[in-house]
Amino acid sequence: MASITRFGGHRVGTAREHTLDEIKTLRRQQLFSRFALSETDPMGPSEIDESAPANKIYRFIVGQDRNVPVQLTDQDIQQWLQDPFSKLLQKLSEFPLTLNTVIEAFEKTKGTQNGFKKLSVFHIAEGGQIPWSAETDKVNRSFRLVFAIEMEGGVAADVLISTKTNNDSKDEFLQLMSWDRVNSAFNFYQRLDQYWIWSGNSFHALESATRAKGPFLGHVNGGVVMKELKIPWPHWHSMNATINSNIFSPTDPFVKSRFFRPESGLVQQAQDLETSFIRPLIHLWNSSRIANATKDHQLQKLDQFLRQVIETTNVNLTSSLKAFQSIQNDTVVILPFTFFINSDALAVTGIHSTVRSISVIGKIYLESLKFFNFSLETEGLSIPGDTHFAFIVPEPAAEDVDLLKKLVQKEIMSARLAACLLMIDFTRPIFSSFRSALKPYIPTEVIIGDHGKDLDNRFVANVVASNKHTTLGTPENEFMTNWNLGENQWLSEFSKRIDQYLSTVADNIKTQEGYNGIVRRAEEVRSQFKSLPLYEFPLTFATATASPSQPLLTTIIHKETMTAML
Amino acid sequence: MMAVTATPAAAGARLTRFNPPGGVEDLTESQKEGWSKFISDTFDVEIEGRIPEYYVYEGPRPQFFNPLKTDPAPDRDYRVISWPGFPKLVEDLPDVENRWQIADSSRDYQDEYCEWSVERVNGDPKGKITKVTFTCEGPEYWQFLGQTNPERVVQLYRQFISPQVQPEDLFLNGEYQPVNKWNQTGSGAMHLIQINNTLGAEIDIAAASTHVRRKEGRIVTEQQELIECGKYGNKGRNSDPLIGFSVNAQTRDGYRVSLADPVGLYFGDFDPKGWETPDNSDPKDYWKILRGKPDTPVRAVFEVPKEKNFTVSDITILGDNILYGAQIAKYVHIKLTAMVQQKDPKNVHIIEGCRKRVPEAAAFAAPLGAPTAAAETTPTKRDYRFSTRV
Repeated sequence: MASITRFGGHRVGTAREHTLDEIKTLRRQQLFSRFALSETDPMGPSEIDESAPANKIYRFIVGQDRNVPVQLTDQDIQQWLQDPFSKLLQKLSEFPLTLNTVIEAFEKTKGTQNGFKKLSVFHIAEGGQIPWSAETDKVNRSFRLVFAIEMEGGVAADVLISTKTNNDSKDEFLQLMSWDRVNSAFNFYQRLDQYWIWSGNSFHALESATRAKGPFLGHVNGGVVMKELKIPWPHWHSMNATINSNIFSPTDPFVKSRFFRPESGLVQQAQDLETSFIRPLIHLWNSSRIANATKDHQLQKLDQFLRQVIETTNVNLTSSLKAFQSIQNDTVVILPFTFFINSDALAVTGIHSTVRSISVIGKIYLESLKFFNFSLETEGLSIPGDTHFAFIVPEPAAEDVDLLKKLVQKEIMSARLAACLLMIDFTRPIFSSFRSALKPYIPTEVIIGDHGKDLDNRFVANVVASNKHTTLGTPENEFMTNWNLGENQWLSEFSKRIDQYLSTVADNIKTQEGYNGIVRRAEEVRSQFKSLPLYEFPLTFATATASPSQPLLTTIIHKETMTAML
Repeated sequence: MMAVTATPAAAGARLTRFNPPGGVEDLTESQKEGWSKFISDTFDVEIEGRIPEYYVYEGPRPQFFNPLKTDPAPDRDYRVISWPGFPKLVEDLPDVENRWQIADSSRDYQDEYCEWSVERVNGDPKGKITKVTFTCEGPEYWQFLGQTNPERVVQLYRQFISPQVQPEDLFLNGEYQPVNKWNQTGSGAMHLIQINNTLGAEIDIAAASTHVRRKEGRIVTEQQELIECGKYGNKGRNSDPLIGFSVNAQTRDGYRVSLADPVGLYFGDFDPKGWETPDNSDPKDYWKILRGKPDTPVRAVFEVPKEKNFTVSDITILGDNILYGAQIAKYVHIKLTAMVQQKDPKNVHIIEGCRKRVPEAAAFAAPLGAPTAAAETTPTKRDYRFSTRV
C-alpha cells in the first residue's frame, strides 16, 4: 500500500502558513467579493504518495487537481513548462531540493546556451531595524530573501525565489517562479517534501476555477508581487534603510552566508529590485495577457482586465519618506499621495493634481502616535511609536495602474471612461465596494481601437439598461453623472474636484483633530488590508487602539466636496 | 553597497599623486601635480575636522586618511557605493509624470551628483528627444582647469556642447564661471552645477561620517539619524545618507577609510530593463561614454544614431515613450569608491553626542577656495561652504 503523507492545510501552495480555519474565515469575509468557493477548498495537495518516484515534476493546481499531485508526462512538460527551471530539472538526474542546491545548479549552467547570467539577492524584514539583544532574541523579525536569476537571452529576471534563511533545509518553505518564454507566463513551483510540484501558471490566476488558490492567493493576478514597491521601500534593505547583521544573534551562521554578506557582491538593494526586475516583469506579464486575449482586433475576457480598474484585487504598501526616528516637532512629514487619491491611475487619464503635497507637522504627527497609542507589537516586543518609515499604508497596486495604462494606450478603454470610473468614490482609492458594484456592467469582449469607443458605448448601454442610474445615490447614478459631463468637460471638472478635495484635506490636517481623522482613516484601510492573504507579518504596521467613534475625516470631506459639485 | 577587491599590485604601492577625476587627460604634468595638491590639501583639512570655534562634538577624524600620506595596508580593500541618478527631491510629488517633468525642469532638482540636458528635434520644447547628455563631473575640476588651462576649457565646451562657444561665454574677468550660458538649465550640461553636487561635498561626507557617534548611550547606526547627528551632507537626498551610512559602517567595524583614486563621482551601471526599441535593438547600444576611463566615466550620452530613423522618444520604457530625460536618469547609477584598511577595533573613535554649531560662533561665511595651481607649502584651514548643510 502506498505510503501517504498528509499535508492538510499546512504550508502548502501559499506564501503564508494559513490553517484551514483561517482560510474559511477569509473566504467568508469575501472582502473582494470575487468568488464563491467551497469552504473545504484546500490550499494544496492534501496528500502525497511517498512512493511516487523522486526527480520527476508533478502537477497540483489547486482548484483543478484533487488529492494527490500528478506526475507530468514529457508531452505535458513540452506543452506547459518551457521555462528555465523546468529545463534545468530535466537535465538533472537528481533534483536540487534546497535553496542552496537550486542556486548552485543554476550557477553551473553558466557559459552554456541560455545559461546562468547573474544572481541578485534582496533582503526584507518587517523587523529589520530592530537590533538583536538578549531581550529581543525571540522576536520574529520575518527576515526573508528574494533571489532574482537572470539567464542569457532571457527577460529581466527569468527565475524568482522567495525563502527564509535556512538555505540548506529540505523542509523550509521554498517557492519559485520561472518565466516561460513560449507560453509567455510565469510557472509557479513549490517543493513539497522531496518533490517539485508545478502549481500552475499565471493564466490560472485569472480563471475562476483556480483564481486565488494555491500560489494565486498571493499572486492574485498571476504576476510578481513586491508589496512595498516604491521609495522608500519600507521593510526592505535599500539605499534608504539598510538591514544589517545586528538584527541577527552573534551566533547565527546566516550572517556569514554569501547571500547576506555585502562583500559577496550578490546582495543588492530594493531600488534595483523595483526598477530592474519587478516593474519590467509587471510590464511583461500585463503585455502578455493582453496579447493572449486579443483576437481579430477584439479583446476577450474583458472582465479579467477591468476588474483591476473597478475593484481592488491587489494592493501595495507605501509610506512617508521620513524615518520615524528622525521626526522632530518642526519636521514636515509629507504623506503618501496615493493614500488620498489614486493619483497614479488618474494621471493615466490625464488628471494631475495641482496640489503638490499633503503634509503634517511633526508635532501633530507625534502627538497622534501618543493619542492612539501606536506601538510595534509582536511576541516578545512592544516598542512605542511607528514603523521605521512613518505612516505605512496600503495603496493601489502598481500592477493595476500598469494594466490600466496599457488598456488606455492600446485604445481598449478610453481615458474618459477610466476617469469616470475612478472618480466614483475617489476619496477611497482602494477597497471601494461602491465603485466595484459596477463590475456587472463590464462586457465580455470589446473591439479595440477608435480610442476605446466600443467599450464606452457598451458599458454605458449596460448601465443605462439597468435603470438603476435613475436612483440618486447609486454607483450607477454617480457614473452616469460623471459620464454626462461630456467629452469636453470631464477632465477639467474631475481635476477641479480632486484639487478641491486635496486642498481641503491639506488644510484640515494642520490641526490635531484633523490629522487624527486621517489616522482613523488610515487605520480603517490597514484593518482591511490585514484581512487579506497579503498580510502576513505583525510588524508590517504599528498597532494602534484607534477609536472609530468619530466619522472619518475623509468621508466628511468627500460628502462636502460631492455636494458642492453635484 | 558592494565590495570590489583591490589588485595586489595597487595594494603594494603608496599612491604618489591624486589623478584628475575620470583619469581625463586635460592637464600637463605640473598641472596634474597642482590638482593632486588640491585634493591632498582637502583631505588634510577634512582629517583635521571642523574648526572647534564653530562646532562642538566634532574634531579630528583619525579614521579618515590621506592615501598620499599613508602606506597601503595588507588588508586594503574597496567598497563601491552606488545609487540611481534620479532625484529623491521629487519623489513626493503626486504622480510619476509630475516627477519627470519637475526633475527635467531645472538642474536645481538634479541633486544626486547626476545632471543632464535634453535635446529635441528642432529645439522644440515639445518635440521628440534626440539626445540626453549626462554628467557627473565636479565643478572644482573645471574651476581648476579654468585657471590653469582656459584654452582647454573652451576646447572641451566646443567639443561637447557647441562649436559656437566663445571664451567670453565662459569667463568673466578671467575667471571661469561654472554656471554659464552653455552650462545651465535649458542649455547643455558640461559639468555639475547644482549647489550640492561638488567633489568637496563627497570628500566632506566621507570624512565627517567616519565619526562613530554615541547618543543617549547607544551607538548611532541608522542612516537618517547618522546624517542628522553628524550634520554632514544633505539628508533629503538618496546619495548623502547612503554614502555616510556606508562609510560609517566601515569605521564602526574598525576600518580606516579614504576615497579611491581618482577621487570623483562616476557613472555605474546602466541597466535599461523593460525598454523596447522600434527595431528591437538593444537600448544599451545607445548609451555611450564620452569622457573618462571605462571604470571611471564622467560624461555619457543616450542617443540613437540618425541612420536608425527613430529617436530617443520612440523608445518606450515599460510602455511609455521617453518624453523626459528624467525617465532615463532612473536607470543611470552614480558611484564612488571608498577605500578601507587597517581594520582594528582600537581604531574606533567614538564621539559622545551630535555635532552642533556653537551659537556664539562668527557667521559661517568663508567661501570655498577655488583650487589653485600655485603650490602652498602647508595646508590651509578652510571653511568650505558646501551649500545646504544640515
